[in-house]
Amino acid sequence: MLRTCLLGSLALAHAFSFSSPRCGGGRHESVLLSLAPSPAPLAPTPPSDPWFSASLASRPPPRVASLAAAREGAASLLAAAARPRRKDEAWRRTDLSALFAAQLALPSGEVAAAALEEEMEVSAGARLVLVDGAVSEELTDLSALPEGVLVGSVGSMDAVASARVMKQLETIPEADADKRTELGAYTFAALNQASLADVACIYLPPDVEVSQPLFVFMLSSGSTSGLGASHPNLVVNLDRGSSLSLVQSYSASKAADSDYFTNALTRVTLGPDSRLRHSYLQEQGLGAFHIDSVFVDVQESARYESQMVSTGARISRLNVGVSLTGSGASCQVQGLALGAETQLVDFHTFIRHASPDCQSSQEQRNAVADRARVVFRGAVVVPRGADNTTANQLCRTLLLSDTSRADIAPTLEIATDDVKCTHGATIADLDDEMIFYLQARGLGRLEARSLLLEGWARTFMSQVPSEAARRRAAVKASLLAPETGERVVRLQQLTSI
Amino acid sequence: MAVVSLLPGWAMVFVGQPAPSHWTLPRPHARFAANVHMATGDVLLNVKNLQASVDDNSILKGVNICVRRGEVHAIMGPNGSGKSTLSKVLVGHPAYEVTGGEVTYREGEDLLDLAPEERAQQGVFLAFQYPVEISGVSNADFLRLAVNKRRGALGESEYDPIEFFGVLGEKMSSVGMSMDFINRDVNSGFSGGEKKRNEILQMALLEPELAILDETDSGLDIDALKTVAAGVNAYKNDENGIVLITHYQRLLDYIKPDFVHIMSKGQIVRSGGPELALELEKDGYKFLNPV
Repeated sequence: MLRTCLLGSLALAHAFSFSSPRCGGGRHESVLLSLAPSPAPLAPTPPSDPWFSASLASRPPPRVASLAAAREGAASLLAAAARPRRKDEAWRRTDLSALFAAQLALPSGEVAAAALEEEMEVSAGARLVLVDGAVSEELTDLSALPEGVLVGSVGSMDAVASARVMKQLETIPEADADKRTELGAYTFAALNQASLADVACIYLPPDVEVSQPLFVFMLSSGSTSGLGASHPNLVVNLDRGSSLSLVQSYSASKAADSDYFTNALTRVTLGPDSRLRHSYLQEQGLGAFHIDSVFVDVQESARYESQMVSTGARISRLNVGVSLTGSGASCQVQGLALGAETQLVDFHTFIRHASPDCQSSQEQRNAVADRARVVFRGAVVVPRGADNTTANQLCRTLLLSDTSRADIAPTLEIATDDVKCTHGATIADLDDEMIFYLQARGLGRLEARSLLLEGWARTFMSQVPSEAARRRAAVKASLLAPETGERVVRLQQLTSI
Repeated sequence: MAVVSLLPGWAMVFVGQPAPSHWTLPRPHARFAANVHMATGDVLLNVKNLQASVDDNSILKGVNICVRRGEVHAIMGPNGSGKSTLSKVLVGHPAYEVTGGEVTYREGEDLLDLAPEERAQQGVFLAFQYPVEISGVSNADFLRLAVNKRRGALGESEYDPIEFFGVLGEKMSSVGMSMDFINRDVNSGFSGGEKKRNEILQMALLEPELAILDETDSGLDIDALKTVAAGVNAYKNDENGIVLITHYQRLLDYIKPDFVHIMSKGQIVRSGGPELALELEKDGYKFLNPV
């Protein structure tokens, strides 16, 4: 399919056209815009999918005028886009019919004081707050950041920084990705950019190390007239040799308001020799829909380390695409999915060794109880020429009830010889031998299971620089402990006999 | 052997000892006020004709043993004779099914009727042959939880973290463990010897009435063995009972048993004094299979 549409960039005061072979054979994450001026700019056509039309009708106005062109460019892409369906490989295990049945609405924007309470102290001086996708100057406090570090709305950036970000917005991720292997980011990314209220930007100049963790809170609110929808967009650029610990946190703007839709898009570019520790906390209200795509470009000798935690939302889908694009780049990608009741927690990831001499390690931990479901589809891609690659992937799942479900699909695509790659997946309940050890020290079975799950979550969270977040994850994990009905102790797993 | 029927359905068997005459006294120390000789202490554990199986394989085929307060019993025997199974059954390991016999604890309580955690709370302790590693849970938190469970069952107030820190420091030095271990995850990355010391530390903290040590000496170097033995000897008193499961006479040089039992094919086939262990050390288990 070939599509022609209009995307403008006010920063460059220029209109571009580009074509996007949507079903190209290669595995490309983004489509680059042609810089050639369009001879005859076409007016955007409304989306053919009524849900997208309705969604665009209820999108918030742009807080920053310069975003108008990016919005319209993306809106015109939506004209030809089809909503993800179960027959798409990327969405096969994720039923979004409840989302598509909802009428999107403008969120109320109300924020309860308690929303940030637990992290006010730890984030003092390095806190960027977005409410429904727009930077809130009132709640933001960036007083402790070193000089030269730029954090805030794209509207508050200088011309150079602003132009850099606008340039990045010109690409919609996965526009021409292979349908068989894509993360499934494209459509919702286009919807995000078509609905931009603001863009949050983080820029570190060369050789700057920010010692204090930087917190970015993405608060979402609901609506009384439909499903409140917000579209936060974050762009992180670390220049050569800089280093940052970033905590990106999603939650409800007030506890009573737990039904809403957050459709986020996150782009991270790590310049040569830079380093990012990325704590990603999805702790949305339990009635919420959460969809986010995080794309990370790790350049020469840069390092990306992430702890990505998904514990909230009724349905959450996190796409994580890490590309190691420079020699010596490395990443450690860790995910934690905790699902209870009827939650669906979905992680789709790829790590792409686009350059030789790169290392990656990935560990995914899932725990799922009650009637909840967890999906993990993780690809490690080593194309031809990516020699001297080391890639390790491990997915461990705790299936804690007879009615919970885990769909796990680790994949390795290796097209070169000089590689060291491992991958593995395990699915089990908690080790009865561990439970018995704790029972033999006086703890009841339920207490023992709670303690084990807490510990399991805590070991994962040890790198997240917020005790409150570590505690919340431990509490959530311990809630998965109760066993439904009579369960049979699996004798074969008892190792201490 | 005397059989005393206490209540309908309850039968107590005391191997080689007369029945005690002070059942009704409420606390162990009160009993011992009138009863100073270890060998004539109250019955703490009475195992009668205990049979157990795992996966339908019969492992214990009628075990009898009676442990009185103040006594140390050593159980020896060839590999696969059922020693560890006996210890696991006594603390309620779910993999084993008790198919016959009975176990009474203290004043006639049916031990097999209690959940594993209740047995622990009531003062039955097993030092594991293979202690389990638990990541993400600090040793200090774990030990405090366990101690508070025991204290709760004894009607004592729970320790808060600061109080407990003091208690812990004292006990740790008594088993030769550095305070570095309190913030490490339970047994995680501990050497074999450190895990065993951690078990003895738990015993010292929990102050059980009945301690069963399942091959606590295996895998220990001679210095660690002495430290562990010193910990056990410090714990030992006239009111508690100890069951040592071991393969080696060496441990018994440091912890003097009152009785040595030899297990074979799921039964105790010989019982005697400490000299029996020396005999085994010299002649092995030949006598079990006379040619």
